[in-house]
Amino acid sequence: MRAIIPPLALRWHDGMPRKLINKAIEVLASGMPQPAIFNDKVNILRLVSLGCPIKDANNYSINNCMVPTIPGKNFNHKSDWATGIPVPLCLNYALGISPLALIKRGGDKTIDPATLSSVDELLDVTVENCKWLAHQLTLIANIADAIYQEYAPRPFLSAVIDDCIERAQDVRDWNYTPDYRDIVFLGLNNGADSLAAIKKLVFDEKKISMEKLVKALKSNWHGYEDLQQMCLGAPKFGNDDDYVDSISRELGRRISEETMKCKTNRGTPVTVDGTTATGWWSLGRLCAATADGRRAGEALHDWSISPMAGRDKRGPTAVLKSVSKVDPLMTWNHLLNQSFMPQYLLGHNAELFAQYLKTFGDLGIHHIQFTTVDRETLKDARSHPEKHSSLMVRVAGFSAYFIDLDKNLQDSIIARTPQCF
Amino acid sequence: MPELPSVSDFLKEKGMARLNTIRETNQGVAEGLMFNIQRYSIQDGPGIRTTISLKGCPLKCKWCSNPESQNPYPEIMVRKARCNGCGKCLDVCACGAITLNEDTVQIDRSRCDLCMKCADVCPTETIESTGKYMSLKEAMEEVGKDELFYRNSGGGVTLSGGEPLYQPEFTLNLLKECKERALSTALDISGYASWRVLDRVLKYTDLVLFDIKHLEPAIHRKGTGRGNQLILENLKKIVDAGQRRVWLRIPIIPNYNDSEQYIEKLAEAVTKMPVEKISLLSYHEWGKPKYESLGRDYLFSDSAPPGQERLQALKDIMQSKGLHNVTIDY
Ligand code: SF4
Ligand code: SF4
Repeated sequence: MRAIIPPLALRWHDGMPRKLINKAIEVLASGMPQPAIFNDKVNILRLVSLGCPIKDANNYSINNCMVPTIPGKNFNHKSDWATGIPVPLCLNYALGISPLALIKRGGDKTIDPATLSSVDELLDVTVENCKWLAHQLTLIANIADAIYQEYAPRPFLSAVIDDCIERAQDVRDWNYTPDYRDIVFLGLNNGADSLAAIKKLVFDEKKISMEKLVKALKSNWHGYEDLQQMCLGAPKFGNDDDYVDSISRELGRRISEETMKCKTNRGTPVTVDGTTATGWWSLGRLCAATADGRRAGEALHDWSISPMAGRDKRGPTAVLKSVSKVDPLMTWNHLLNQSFMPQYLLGHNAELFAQYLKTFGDLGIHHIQFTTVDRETLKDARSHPEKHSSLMVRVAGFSAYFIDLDKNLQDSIIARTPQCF
Repeated sequence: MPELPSVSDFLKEKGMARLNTIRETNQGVAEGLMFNIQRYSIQDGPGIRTTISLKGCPLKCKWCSNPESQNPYPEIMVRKARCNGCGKCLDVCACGAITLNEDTVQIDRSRCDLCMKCADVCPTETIESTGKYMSLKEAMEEVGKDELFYRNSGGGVTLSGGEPLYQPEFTLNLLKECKERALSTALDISGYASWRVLDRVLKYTDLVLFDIKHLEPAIHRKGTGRGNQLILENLKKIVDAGQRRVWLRIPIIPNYNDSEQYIEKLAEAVTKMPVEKISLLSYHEWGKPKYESLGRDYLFSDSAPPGQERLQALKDIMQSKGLHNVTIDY
């Protein structure tokens, strides 16, 4: 089935038949970004921790692209109020840096860069700002929910959801547990990478002052190109480096904790969700330059837990290790996207890919989906090398960055890469 | 009494820093000099592996796709296309080895003493150092990171190069330590080392990946700079001992070892060896830009890589000689 919609979800667990795994890899190798893989180890526990009875949690499926749903029982998307909160916006606001346009305030707390004494203090204020925005969105959503409940009942859905008829209630009037609503946060790892750069360059090595860095960010790095290079050289999420992975974990945990304190109209918790759709691109347009070296208006990292594009340089196992440190049970359900050259999924390599997936499951990562690097990507790297600095070419005993090969060699690789559709 | 300068300071002062690094490795400092650590390595033995590539090799194969693996000391690699002409490298070079030509860096390697300062300051990664010393502890930390992947996939750790036997102490210690942690080990070698060295490390090696470049001593010497007597003797000893799994790796080099007659001869020579697998590895020219970045000439530019058909034909020949464990690997 060569269709993007409806999205296919595959529940990953230890007892999966090998035939099913092979089939999934075959579909991925054909260039389809499907199926997305969800880890039972995380999802069932997560639902139970939100109050869902185990027998129903075992039966979960995926609604939309990311949201676990108990078929025939619950109803999570109650209103269309959703927008995402970019974490880097909250961080920048803490430093008094305004976004490019539209959103006037990223939060309500700022600190004077001159008095900033540690990166923990900055993290605290960033979380405060995230919390402030989460509260605003909860307020809007609660109003929207009340209006929907009053003016937009769902009689058809109510007829097919358990207990609505027995209770003589519309689905909007009550909800089966787990009853929660969600808020999307994006750019967690731009936040973590930025904090890591500040920690390393301003506090650990004292190579630059916070005031100068803030000036550089406000001027979108113009005239501060060496500062930008230094920031780009700081540790980055996705390389299995505890220095920055631990910041991502802490930032995620704290944001989740604060968000859970927000309550819906029924007094049930608001949780964070990783369904970013294309927000990482569109909301990136609104964010000023960030201390991870990113320029104003550039996209944030894709989806909700992927490393920033081009900055993961240690290969796919290092990415999984980094992601596994941001425990989805203490943070939220994360959307991870990984890109592979198609030959990694073909022939003998398919077996290794299956074992890579098994390890994904063992590591307790919530979700993964794949895109294959196709000819178009390689052609794009040929003409825009700066966008593809971490694209590796590997054969036995040899590896090199694609962009460093000369044009003829690049062409020969493009020619031997299967066309994907 | 005035304090004597350290050997390394003395050599640096005399502009001989590169000798310094050779000394350190020869003295058996328990550090390894490596040029690459590759995780999710899937070509150097079974399963998902981490391949540690040590720098320095006694052979100098003309077709080598990793020329940075050959010299046993750190070097600088310069990818000129990345240079933005900022001139930062110029300011830190005490040897006057750097000039800017039309906003692109130019390095006179005869003046360079490999102090690596330019690589440290270059903001665009135009100049990078290759070759990093690592202690056993650091290397084991790196190796430990993907342990779960090895266990699930039947993978492990591969020591490659360069020639890992060129740093015998480090190689021995690392393999030992891996075995202590019950990790599966593979050793990817040219075979050019004394049996005394090889014998010691084999105890801690599960799989040997052994290269055969050519069977004729004179031709071997022409292509690699060394004869092959020691190599073939070592191979025989490993196989005769019968205790290690062995994979033979045959690089197929155009106009060197790719004729039908030679492959027939090779097949006859190895047909009685109880090796698990024979890989035909196609010569490729992707390493060419690395020669340029090391300021070296690429001596192999006229040769086109053998195509898939050619490799298949050679594989068929080996098969007709009764070898059913031949694979074509990229
Ligand atoms: S390594 Fe760089 S800075 Fe040092 S001598 Fe050589 S060219 Fe000059
Ligand atoms: S420091 Fe790097 S970018 Fe600047 S001139 Fe030197 S090589 Fe070029």
